[in-house]
Amino acid sequence: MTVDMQLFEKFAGMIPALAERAQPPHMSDAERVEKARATFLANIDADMASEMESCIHCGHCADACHYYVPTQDPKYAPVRKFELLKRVYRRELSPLRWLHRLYTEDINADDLRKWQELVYDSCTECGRCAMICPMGINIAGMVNVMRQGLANAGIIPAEMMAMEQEQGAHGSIFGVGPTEMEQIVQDLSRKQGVEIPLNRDRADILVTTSGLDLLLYNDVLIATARIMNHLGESWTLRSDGFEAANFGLLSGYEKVQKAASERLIRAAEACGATTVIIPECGHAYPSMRWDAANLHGRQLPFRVLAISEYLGQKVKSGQLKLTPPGQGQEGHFPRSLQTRPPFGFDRRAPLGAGGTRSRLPRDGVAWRNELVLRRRRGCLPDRYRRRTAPEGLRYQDRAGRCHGRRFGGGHLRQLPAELHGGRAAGAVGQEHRIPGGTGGRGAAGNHALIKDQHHD
Amino acid sequence: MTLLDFARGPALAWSLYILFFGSLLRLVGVLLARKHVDLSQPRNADTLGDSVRTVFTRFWFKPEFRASTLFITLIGYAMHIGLAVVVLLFVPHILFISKLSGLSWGGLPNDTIMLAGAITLAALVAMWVRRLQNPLMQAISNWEDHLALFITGLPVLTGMMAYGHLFQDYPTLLAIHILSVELLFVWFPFGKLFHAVMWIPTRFKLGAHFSRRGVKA
Repeated sequence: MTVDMQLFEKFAGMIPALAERAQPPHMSDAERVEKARATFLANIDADMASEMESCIHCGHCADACHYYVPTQDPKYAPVRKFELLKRVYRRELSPLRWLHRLYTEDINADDLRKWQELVYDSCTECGRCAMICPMGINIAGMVNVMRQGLANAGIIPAEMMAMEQEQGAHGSIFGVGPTEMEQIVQDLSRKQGVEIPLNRDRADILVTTSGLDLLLYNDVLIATARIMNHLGESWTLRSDGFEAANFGLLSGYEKVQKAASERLIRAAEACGATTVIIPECGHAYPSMRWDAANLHGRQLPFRVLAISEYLGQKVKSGQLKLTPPGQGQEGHFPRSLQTRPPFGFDRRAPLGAGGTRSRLPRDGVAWRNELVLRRRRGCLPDRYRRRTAPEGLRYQDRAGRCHGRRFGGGHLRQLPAELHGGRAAGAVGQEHRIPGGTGGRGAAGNHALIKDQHHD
Repeated sequence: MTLLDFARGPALAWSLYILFFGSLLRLVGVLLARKHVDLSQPRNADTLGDSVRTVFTRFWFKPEFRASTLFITLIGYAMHIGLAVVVLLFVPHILFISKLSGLSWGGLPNDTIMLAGAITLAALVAMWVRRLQNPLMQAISNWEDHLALFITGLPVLTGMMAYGHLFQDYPTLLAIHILSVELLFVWFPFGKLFHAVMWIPTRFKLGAHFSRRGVKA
């Protein structure tokens, strides 16, 4: 994969400026607390109640947490991250609330501000803690409700708030709205000589992308187009519904989450799509696959597939044939997609039939741990603490520079495009090299090394 | 009325009432809470098998977490199994339960029960020390956690003291032992000891949640 490093640096420089664009809502502390409380109460159901009644404070969840393991800082224990939700539950909803009120402290605005770091900066909602919990508690789901409460209380990290507000107001991220999207896609199509069907009235498949992919990682879009064309699919990109990233979900602001998913629903319905394909973003998929119907109020008239899930199906059905890659072909999928699948915890990756395998979750965790440590040691600038969906590659690139070694990088979607034997599959052997890196790991043969992707 | 009469009479009756109705209140209140209807298309509509499987698979950790969880898991098992052996297989306990319920079964020799009691107490002490010494456990522990360990260990300790006739006459020691059990009965529905009931529905629900999404929980 090739990345324009000048453009990359320009993007990296934009992150701190995002905070200045945020427009925090004005409300009193009492209003913030009431909004958070109301949100918590509206979202606690029987499943969550059962979970909060079950926690034995065993601490196992910390041993699965990317933030606790490398830092050993108890504040990152996942069980602490939903404490405010638990307090509200115990005081307001629990069958024993008459008793719990005697010794359970109420929440206040300072608590909300204090927990901002824990639920936004120190949790990716990867769900790994749910896999270790002996009681079977889904902590990530409760962290998400915590985010919703904080979002309604206006206590969102400023950078994320800016992104959420842009998507809420204009439907765009990084300024890529319908007009910009059409321009970029047409330019890419012309320069790369790849047909990208844009704004078709009828198509079986609606492919979605992201503003960041369009601006920075547009090789990925080209790879997608090559694959879809090679498969002979009836597909389209639509400028009225292309942005899969959902900063409403990330921030916990449900109104924006709903509006963003509604755009995709309308676009899919407008072209009669029976399938909507979501890019590798670890939050875009669950937002559309699991949350959209509930926010929309009815079942979706199409199926939602992650791009990797779609490719896996094509590989398994024999429609997409891959050249056996030999050594070194590995894919790391977003952890969010493991616990909020298309995949499972059993490490089976859909591309397995093509000779690839996933490296989950142990190696992925080791990599994440290393990253967190470097960030804590100041190797990564603070602005990288605000982690948004497409930042995985930026992490890798920055950490690679710091560390003086090269981390092979690339998007999953490029894998079939680069491994496929046919001409339609396009370029083979491209690698992204970090300037100044020592090249610690090499790619095998002519194949790109796909490793350690994180898109939480 | 002697202390033993009190422990065997009204205290026992009231503690059992509280145990039963308190547990019922908490369990029914949780299970009958509002449910959100999920309109997303499930990847797997029949979740029953996976849900039941999750109830049992969570008895042991996944290989990825072996290094970090092996010790405390083994300690936990030592405590729970030891406690179950003491409660259910000590002949006087079986007679007591038989008197209340009419059910009866064979017990283990007293020495074996004492060994199980000692293991249970040692495991409880290890868990408590870990909770006091480990920075993570310190940070996530509250008074309820310490109380739960104390209330669990007290009947085992007083029972072993009664069996050994230590420090007091037997009737007094027996009364203290029964009262400590009744304290456990009374607190059981209100504190975290209630996880002895909640682990089943909670694991089941997580299994259903993940199964619906096609995840092996």
